[in-house]
Amino acid sequence: MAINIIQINTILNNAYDLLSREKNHINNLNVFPVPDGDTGLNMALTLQGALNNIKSHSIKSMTIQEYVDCFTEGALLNSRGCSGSILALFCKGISESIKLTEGSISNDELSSALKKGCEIAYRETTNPTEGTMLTMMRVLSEQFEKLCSESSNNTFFLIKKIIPSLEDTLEKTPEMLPILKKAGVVDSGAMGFLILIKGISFELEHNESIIKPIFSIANILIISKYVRSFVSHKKYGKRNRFIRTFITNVPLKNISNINLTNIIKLFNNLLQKKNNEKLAETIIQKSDELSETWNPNIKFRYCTEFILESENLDKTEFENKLSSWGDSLIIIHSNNIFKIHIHTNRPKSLLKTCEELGKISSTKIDDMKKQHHNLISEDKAYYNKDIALLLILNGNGFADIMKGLGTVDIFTYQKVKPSVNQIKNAILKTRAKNIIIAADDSDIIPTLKSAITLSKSNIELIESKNIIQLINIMYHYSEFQDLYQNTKVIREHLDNIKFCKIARATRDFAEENINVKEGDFFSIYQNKIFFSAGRKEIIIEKSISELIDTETLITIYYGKKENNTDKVVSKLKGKFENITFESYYGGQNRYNYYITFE
Amino acid sequence: MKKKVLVITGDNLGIANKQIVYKDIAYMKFPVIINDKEFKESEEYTAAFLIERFKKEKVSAHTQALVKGDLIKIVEAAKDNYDVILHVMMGSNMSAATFQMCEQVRKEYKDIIPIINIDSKQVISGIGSILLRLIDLLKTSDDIAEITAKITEITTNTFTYLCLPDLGFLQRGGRIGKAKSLLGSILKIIPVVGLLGDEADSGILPIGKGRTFQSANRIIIENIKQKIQKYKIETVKQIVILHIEDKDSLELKNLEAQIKSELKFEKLIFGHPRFCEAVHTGPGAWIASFSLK
Repeated sequence: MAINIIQINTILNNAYDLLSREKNHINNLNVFPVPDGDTGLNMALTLQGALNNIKSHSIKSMTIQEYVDCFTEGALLNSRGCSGSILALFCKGISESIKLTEGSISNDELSSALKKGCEIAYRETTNPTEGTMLTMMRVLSEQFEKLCSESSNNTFFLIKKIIPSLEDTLEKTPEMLPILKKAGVVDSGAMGFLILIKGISFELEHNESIIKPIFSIANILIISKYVRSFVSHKKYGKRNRFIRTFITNVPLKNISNINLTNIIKLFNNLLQKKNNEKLAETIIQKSDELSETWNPNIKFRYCTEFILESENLDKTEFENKLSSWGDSLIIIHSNNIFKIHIHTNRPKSLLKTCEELGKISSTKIDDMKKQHHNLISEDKAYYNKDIALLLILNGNGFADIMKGLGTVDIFTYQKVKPSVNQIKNAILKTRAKNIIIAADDSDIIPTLKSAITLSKSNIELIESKNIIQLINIMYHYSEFQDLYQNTKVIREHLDNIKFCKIARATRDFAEENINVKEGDFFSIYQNKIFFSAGRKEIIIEKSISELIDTETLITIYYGKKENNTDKVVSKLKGKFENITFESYYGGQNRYNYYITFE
Repeated sequence: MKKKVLVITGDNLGIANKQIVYKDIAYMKFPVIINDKEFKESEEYTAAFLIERFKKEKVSAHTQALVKGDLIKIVEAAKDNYDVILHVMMGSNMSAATFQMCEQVRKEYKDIIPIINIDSKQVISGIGSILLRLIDLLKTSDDIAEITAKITEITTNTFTYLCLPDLGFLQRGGRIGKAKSLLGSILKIIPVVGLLGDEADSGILPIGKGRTFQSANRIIIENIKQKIQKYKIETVKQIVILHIEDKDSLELKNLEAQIKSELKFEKLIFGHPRFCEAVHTGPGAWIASFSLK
């Protein structure tokens, strides 16, 4: 029995909905290859990219082959993480197998396609490992082929019939992959794949969750830690009665972690037997194992992905070149487009090297240490956007100017510079996975660096030194570009605007043969005092005369201590006829004026 | 025998009709509503007329989709005299209503005369540029399948940049899209927005923020240089530039100078602003379209 394109589209959308709903549960199982807690999200985003690619076409006029090609193209270009890349490879194999112009696909054709999908996924994954999504793909393909030869039933019926075998395989993943057993979980990618297949089979009602509410990894580790502490210190006294009551009352059905369930069962036995040293040792050992598995030494810190468009690039040669940069390398190749996934410690150098080979786009760099911390921490960060720009600055006027120049998060400080905690909270408030951060004073950079180490997002620090550089950042930042592209263009243009700043002396002093008296104004250009005067009109005019070259626009930003500069500006307009003058309230504390030349 | 091909297009081309050297061409006029009264382009109703009214009377204006009856009249008159009709249209993502109407007409006449609707994915001089390229192709071949395939490639390689001192006009016309992020600046900026052939489904995109006309032009040049590098183009096939108010403006002169000193190109055409285009650009705007192939 055959299925048509409309049915395929509907079931894939249902499967995506289900996967999307269950992604956080899948994330909580993610321990292999790195416990960065994003398997569910990566699979959902890959599928979303594939379906979005379909949306721009009229499905009714597409053949099955065109549909699958288009879906696969979207999956390949939008694949995220190891799990998403393997899923995209599976789609690639299916797409290579299907050569249909008709509007439907038979079970035999689907069987061959699944086989090919499985073959490509195994072949193009570096170090294919059993006990992962790959095993589930193999079981699906083998079982489907077997059932096809036995009956000519409805496709959905056949898939539904395979689900128990897939569930059995999922349960066995800890036996196949020792790290899963130690962590007390089934494989997250395999679970994601099962959810996908369940969604496809229509077995589930649309709004029913297939996974019961479970404890997070943070909760599991905390309970295990309580048990260990209780047992190792033999704290049977009054003070710990609360902990004992809590542990003995933990509902085992809400724990999806097999090892923790065993630990609690052993603990309950221990309470009944008392002074059983061997049992206590086993509990401590199991608890330590659980904790170690979820806190591994992450060898390669950054999960790096990008698309490279390059003609005349040999895939095998390229693969050999990249393999020395890290592990978990997956390269998906289609025409002259390469989608690369790798775990590495030098993502930026890698991108730079690859830039010499072709055009790079859609870059993504995830700090897996931070993601891991987020996974096992109680204080979780929930992101609602991919990228944000956070500026730390002095002056309400400047804050308003920045807001008008695009989407930006701003932390405004007054005379006292911000603390690490304030910056950390400002970072958390952006709720962005990737953040570009910059301040208007180089003295704040150490504070920013400390705050960055405490935050969970991927953060790029722009080492800016003044407010004019922040304006420049706003000219070049785009929320539609990724972190890498944005920081590259921002750094290239950071010093594009020529400016000087004017302050008032609070005491007499001399610098570079210029004597400045208390109360005088002095003008600074490129960190050097170049002029001083008693009256502000004079110093502004003199500063402009000294510095103006071929620029046509002069902007004066006046600080908190100054009134508006209308009178000064009208005088200047008379003197410099071909120059446009603009004046804005910056509200800064330290400098009376900033003057820019553009 | 050579095929007889009628070309249909709108009056939102960023170039004057006299700049289009092709005799079998029919123009459709977009209705412009000014203070609830309908106007169409004429000797009296021009871009300059509307810009002046924007400045002096603060009128409100918007455009409407092309009228189906106007298109049917042209098709009826052509059906017995031509082998095929090629309709070069504004980007379907800019006016879905116009695109749907033209598709309806194509279907209604499918057994009478073939009509091929070419979605330029562009506005203003971007459409004009694609039209001129189509006419170049028609002069060398009458293989319609080959021409339409080539013109599809040209649309993905055509890039239009608009420097719009007041984005409010684009916003009121409902076409601001992602460029919304450039609205409402306290600092006077010249927003540069674009319709990029290789990202045409994204609609109008924010490209950059210039503080002076020189820096806005710099943004255009840097952006098109990236495209030239990306697509490995040696010589840009055709560039159309225009200013909505003043062809001798400093903005356009500076852009011309930057193009001449930094880009290799075959043709540089000085466009002509049209009545309905002024509705969306407002005063002071200037535009550049680049067809790389």
